[in-house]
Amino acid sequence: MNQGTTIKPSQNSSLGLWSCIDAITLCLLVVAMCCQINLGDIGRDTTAEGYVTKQLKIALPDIALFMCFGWFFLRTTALRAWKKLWWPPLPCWALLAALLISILHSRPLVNAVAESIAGAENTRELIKALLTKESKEAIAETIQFAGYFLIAPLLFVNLIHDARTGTLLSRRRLVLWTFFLALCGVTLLGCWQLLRGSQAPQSWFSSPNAWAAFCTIALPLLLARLLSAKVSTVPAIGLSCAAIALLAATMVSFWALLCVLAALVAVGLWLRVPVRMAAALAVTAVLLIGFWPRQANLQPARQQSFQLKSQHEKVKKQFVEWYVATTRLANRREASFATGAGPGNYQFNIGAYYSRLPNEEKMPADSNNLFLVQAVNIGILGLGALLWMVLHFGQLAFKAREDFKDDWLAAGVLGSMTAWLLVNLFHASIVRGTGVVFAFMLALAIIALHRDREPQPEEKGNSLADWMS
Amino acid sequence: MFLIYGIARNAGPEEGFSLQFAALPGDKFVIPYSAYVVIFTAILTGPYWWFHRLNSTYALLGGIVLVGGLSFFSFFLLKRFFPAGTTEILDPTPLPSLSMLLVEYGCVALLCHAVAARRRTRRLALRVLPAIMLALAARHQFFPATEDGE
Repeated sequence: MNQGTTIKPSQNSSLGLWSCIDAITLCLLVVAMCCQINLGDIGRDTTAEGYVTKQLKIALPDIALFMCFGWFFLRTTALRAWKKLWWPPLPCWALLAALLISILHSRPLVNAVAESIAGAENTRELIKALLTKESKEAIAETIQFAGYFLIAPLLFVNLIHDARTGTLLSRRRLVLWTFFLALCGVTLLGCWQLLRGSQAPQSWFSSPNAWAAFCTIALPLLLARLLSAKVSTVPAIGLSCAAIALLAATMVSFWALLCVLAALVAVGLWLRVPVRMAAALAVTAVLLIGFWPRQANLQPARQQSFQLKSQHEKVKKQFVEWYVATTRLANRREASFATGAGPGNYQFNIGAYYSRLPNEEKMPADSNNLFLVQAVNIGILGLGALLWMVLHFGQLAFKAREDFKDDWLAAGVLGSMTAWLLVNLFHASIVRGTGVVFAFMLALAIIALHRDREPQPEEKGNSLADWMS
Repeated sequence: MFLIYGIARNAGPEEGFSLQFAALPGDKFVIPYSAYVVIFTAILTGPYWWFHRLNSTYALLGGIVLVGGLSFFSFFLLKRFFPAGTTEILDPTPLPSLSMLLVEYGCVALLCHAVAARRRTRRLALRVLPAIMLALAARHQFFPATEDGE
């Protein structure tokens, strides 16, 4: 990004207005990503007919992301500022390449399309025939991944550190305030649902598990801010404990809670928190572990993490499906081990592999394990590309932590990324808009690394307003 | 390179040194010739990939270890609840095949690492990639895959 070019005074007022619109757009996107409101479905709900088919859900964060990108595209083109942008690094493009190779090399997908176009007689029929259910899934997943891992980081980084007008405009404080306020809002909604007697609060998310996964990713960032050395005050400790208690009280997933605790330990180590803070948080964690099983109205939902759904079941279907995915991976005759069955095609390719293993819960197949699902979908190359991208941004955050020891942001991002890696073993969280939150964390790694580009704040105190800097 | 290896593995004869596992009595586990080639070449190119750091290879190897770990974990977890055997509910047959694939593709990743350690080779590979994608598309368009071979 270029710096140092001054803006002509006559342009200031119009630039101020456009910049204000940019800021509002960014804030709206940040608020939208803190929910998972469903705007519609693609595909028919066939549950009443005795079988379940996969439906594509259109979530608000996805629509907000693409609308925001539309505005960003127009504005950047008008400013002729494409060369001033920060661009996503090679691993992001490698992931997209892995998706495209997987589509081209997917035997089930290519065979389904070949079968479908065999009877097409004119161009219109040919185009219609190309859109089989397999290819629709592949297109949808590729667009979704491109949105989360190319467009969203591009958008967040360039809107938070906006250098398109010639001077660097930092919206770091604004965007973090917005995120934490939105987090407060959805947490209070979850608490309200809890007080109203809900047995599985899910705030504005599509399921209690999606809400738990969101909390797992968001909480380390919030606590990194509250626990950073500069604000080690009694209110900060109190707020940290309250945040942990409120979020944990509304979560029903035991696995997500475990991931939160592991990520918080990681954040504490990265931040090197003072002893009294560590002690306060340890006491909170112990109290949490003690009180968590005593929330009577959430017990049935919480027990579903372990409890079986019928007397014939011996183990949760989720874990049965891990082995089913393994069996699918080992069968290289059905699809290439390197490039997989095609993006989004997991559910079309897994049913036959239950074989003798029980498949009692008649729901669309889903191991909820992101890594196994992606290994089946886009092969070991695609999974490697996904992990490469996470590793790359993780390293950048780690470098930022080393370079700017007084800054809390990098430690928070590292904690959130750790939580994301852990929680994805149990609840895949790059579906229906939740991927935007992770893309936001990736972008914050870059923002933390570019700390020296921002105007340095004046001497700070311990007031509430200073916490968000 | 991964795609070429995949094609070579399926094209070549699946004979060679065979192993027998206690969990799979009567079944011979055959290691194909392509696997020998790639494993020995990975060992021979050891000095090239050992001293050069490439995050992409580490990530891929991480993915391989993760998939392997999850596979074995799920098998041993399910073994506590279901009888295991080739004719039982829990069939362990996929595990040796998957482990072999993981080792082979891990070796391919190390070979790629050795090749990509040189900047010029890496650039060439990135330029050739679109051509490989087009060739793949053409292959599937003109020679659709059959059920028996890849």
